[in-house]
Amino acid sequence: MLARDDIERLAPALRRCAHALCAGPDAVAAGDELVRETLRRALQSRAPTEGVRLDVWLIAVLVDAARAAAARPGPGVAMPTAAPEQRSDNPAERAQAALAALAPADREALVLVGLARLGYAEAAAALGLSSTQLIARLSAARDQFAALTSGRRARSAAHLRVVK
Amino acid sequence: MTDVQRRPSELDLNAYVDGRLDADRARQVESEAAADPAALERLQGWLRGRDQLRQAYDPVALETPPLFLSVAARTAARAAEPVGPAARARAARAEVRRFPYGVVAASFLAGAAATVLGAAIFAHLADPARPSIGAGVVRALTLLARGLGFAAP
Repeated sequence: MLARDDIERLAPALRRCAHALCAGPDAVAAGDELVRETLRRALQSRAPTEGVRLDVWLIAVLVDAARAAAARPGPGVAMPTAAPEQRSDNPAERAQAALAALAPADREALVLVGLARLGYAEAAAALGLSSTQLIARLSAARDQFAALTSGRRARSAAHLRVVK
Repeated sequence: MTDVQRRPSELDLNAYVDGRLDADRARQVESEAAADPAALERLQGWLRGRDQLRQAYDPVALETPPLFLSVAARTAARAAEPVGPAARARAARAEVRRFPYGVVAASFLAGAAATVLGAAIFAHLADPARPSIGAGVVRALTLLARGLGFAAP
């Protein structure tokens, strides 16, 4: 079972992922609520099997909690839908807006690999994807993110992807 | 180009961005991308995006999480304690073990000390002429009170 020491050690990194997964309006409140729900689930479930890293397991629990929250209608953890209309001068805000504009499945892949620094096999397992699917989503997310943060149309990146 | 230059795959480009290639393989992907303008543009955009994403969110991992998260975790940990007769019996035994024997012993000793001191002072007040421990205690208390500025000399 998860110990309090583990929670205190892993909560900051978990919060980073949660805030990123909830990118959009109220990302901080929604992200913290998501961390709380993740810890609740983690504490009530069986500890990960031998050989599974605790932080990787917690991120998988986080993804499940985020998906459940997104599927639940009405108030709860608000999942982003907003597109970035006004462009901010602050790069962090531009990154947040771009992340919020990604398709949820692409955002998951980008957050797990790009922020949580999970390996491809770990990220694919946490997301319930094959490695090929993970790489496809990651690539799409990166094309879209680069296009949105640089101000160019996502279309040109999509075009590049087709050329492959 | 001497031999057929292969295009870097999406896996190659991602692995390059995520630093998952060894030095030789990374150099190879770089040269493949350099020969392919579309791949190069893509790679540069991905690298920029990787850094922007980290700069936006890595600071969150350096913050102290809000207090309600650790309180919630503790509450959840209690709620998650095992149920059932055996678990409850175990919990009851743990409760008994947690009984604060140390505190009880300390208060008992403090009470005993106060009684002895009180008796000594009472004996001194009843018969001030007779030298006793009480006289010393009263003198010490008077000096202490004077030192603290409570009593006139």
